Amino acid sequence: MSTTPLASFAERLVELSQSSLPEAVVHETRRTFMNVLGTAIGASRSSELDALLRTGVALGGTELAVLGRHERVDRYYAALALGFAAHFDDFDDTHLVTVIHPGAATMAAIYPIALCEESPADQVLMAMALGVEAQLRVGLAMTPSHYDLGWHITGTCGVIGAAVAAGVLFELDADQLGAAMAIAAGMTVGQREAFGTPIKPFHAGKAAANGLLAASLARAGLIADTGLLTDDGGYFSVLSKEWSTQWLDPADLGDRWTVLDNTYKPFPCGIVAHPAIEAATLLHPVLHGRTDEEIVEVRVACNPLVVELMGRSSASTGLEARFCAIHGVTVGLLCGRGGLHEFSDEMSVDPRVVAVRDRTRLYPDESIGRQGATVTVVFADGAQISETVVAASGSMERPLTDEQLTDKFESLVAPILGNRAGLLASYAMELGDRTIAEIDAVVVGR
Amino acid sequence: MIDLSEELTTRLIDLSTVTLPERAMAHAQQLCDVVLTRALLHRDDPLVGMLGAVFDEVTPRRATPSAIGPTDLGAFATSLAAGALVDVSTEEISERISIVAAVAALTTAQLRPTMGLTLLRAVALGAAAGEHLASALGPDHQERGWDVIGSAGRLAAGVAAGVVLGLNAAQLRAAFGFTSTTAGGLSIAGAQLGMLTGALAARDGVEAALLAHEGLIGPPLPLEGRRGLFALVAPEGDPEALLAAIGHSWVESSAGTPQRFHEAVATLATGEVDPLMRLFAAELAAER
Repeated sequence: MSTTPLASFAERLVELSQSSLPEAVVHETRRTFMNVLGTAIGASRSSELDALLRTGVALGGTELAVLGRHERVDRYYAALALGFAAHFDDFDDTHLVTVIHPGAATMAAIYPIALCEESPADQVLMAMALGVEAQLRVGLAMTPSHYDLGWHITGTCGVIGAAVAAGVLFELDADQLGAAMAIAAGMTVGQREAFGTPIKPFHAGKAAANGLLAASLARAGLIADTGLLTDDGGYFSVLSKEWSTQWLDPADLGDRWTVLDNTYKPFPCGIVAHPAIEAATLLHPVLHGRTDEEIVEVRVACNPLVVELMGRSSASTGLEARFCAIHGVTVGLLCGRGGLHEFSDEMSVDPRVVAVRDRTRLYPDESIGRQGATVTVVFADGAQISETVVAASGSMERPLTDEQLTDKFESLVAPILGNRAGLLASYAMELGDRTIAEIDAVVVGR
Repeated sequence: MIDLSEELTTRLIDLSTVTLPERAMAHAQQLCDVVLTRALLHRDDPLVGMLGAVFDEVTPRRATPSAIGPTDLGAFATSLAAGALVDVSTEEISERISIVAAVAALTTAQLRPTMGLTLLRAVALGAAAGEHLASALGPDHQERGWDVIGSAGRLAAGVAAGVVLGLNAAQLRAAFGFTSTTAGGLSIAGAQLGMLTGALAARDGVEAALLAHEGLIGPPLPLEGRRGLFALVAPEGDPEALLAAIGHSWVESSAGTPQRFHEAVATLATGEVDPLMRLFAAELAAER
């Protein structure tokens, strides 16, 4: 009997869901979960999330509240809000080969289901691991053509990962899980035109909600042809010029794990600018009391992708600043750090920042790798100082340690939850032993 | 260079406050009749029932009653559209897009007291915007594998919902941002998933208009931008054709048979939407 690549992929995913995860995969999945839970809570008081939740309330659901918010929404909207918040500050995770931010949509699909249906702790961990794995593999199958065309791969592949994660929680069989992914294939979201606006994080949220919906429809018995992913006119062919099903190979799935290639951002902005921002922060103490007026030019030698993805020449909001590499370099230089405050609305129009930012230039250079950059500050008296980063913090070469990741989590969560941040970090790193209900109890302070 | 999104939204907002051609308004009226009648007739269709059950689970009903009774408006939009699109495979694309627009307008009208005239204008403008977008996207769009109901239908729904909410041009542009970026659906998916695509297009159009109404913004060029709708789903399309047609050409009524709500929709020209929806709710209850 002939079968489709997606059907075989689904069958293998179901097999894996009934086995044990390797220890390294458990650890990285927990890091992924903790990181996006932190970024979601960190953004949970943003005015944009206020607006999103007002819409959820207007639409009428009342099933649950998330992120310690008072608004009650349905589980679809809860997923949307969680994914939106998790990706809002562009501070989440990145799978560097595909540039997918896989944690947001996966966590956001899982969290409301696990709360509403009291999912067992080990199943939640499995759903998180397989949801991330599935979406990264689908993304790898279309990389680099898909993203280069202009699609926001976090939304277009996130919906598949969210469907798998929800499907694992629902204990779907292979046919149902294949159907869930095929249904999700028609619910893609994400055009890169929206970068720098609240629609970018909406992609992650909508992917989560649509994935949850797709899995719910499959659980109810909606049938979908698993050829919808790979057939002519299907998901891959409409979304990409080139693609390969090798990443769906069931023999490979479970043999190697792409979640092990996930990385976590030290700065809340597009990852391609991180090397330059880090170089700028290293130059901050070397400025030796020079005034801003003495700076004639800040030169940023960088990979051309920085210009392509973060080449904005100005920023008037925090969201725009996240796509403005010269903003990141400027605040790194002037403040010695690049946290949420440095990428806030206030700092994006700060006169001191704007003045130096206007003198900062990107110099794309094909010979510089994506993890490298050199920042040179030229002073009026002709003096220069320079710093080169070969492999940025948070890259595969220099991943954030557990301690650094926990520090990042607590710096995001403590302003919202106060001294519960530490306990929540430890609970998040015990995903698989702790239920979402237990984790949520810490979030809401029960 | 024409700023398509700005021109389009400005023109649509201008048109939402003036008297529209009689034929376009008659078609809007007929669409409301068709949508409500079909939703009633197909309430027991197995697939409509399944979708209704799932949407009830995913988006449970709230306690606060609207004119149609306790409901979640997202679930209402999808159920209404699913019922109205049961015959999706036999219908003209233009008709399906118009139905999606009508569903979005009827759903959004549950949020606030709405005059019938506003509803009809919303349906007429949504249907026209959707049909003209479908034409502008061109045959290449569907040949590539996209379901035009998921793209043009979503925009139609966003326009219809936005007119009911009274969005301004900037807000409508933001709604375009949401409907553009959620454009989805595969033309090879078949009738069942095609119905789902239409149902979600209606729901997402309502959501897009609400998000814009609540102040969320999107990109300035959601349709014509370098990585916007046309570039990604119809690179061979003609964005300017959309602008050329808006306000000049309308989706008009064919001489359709009056349906079950024919008399009630006739009152929309002079009254509020609420009585029509109360009648629909009563008929639905009686059938059950």
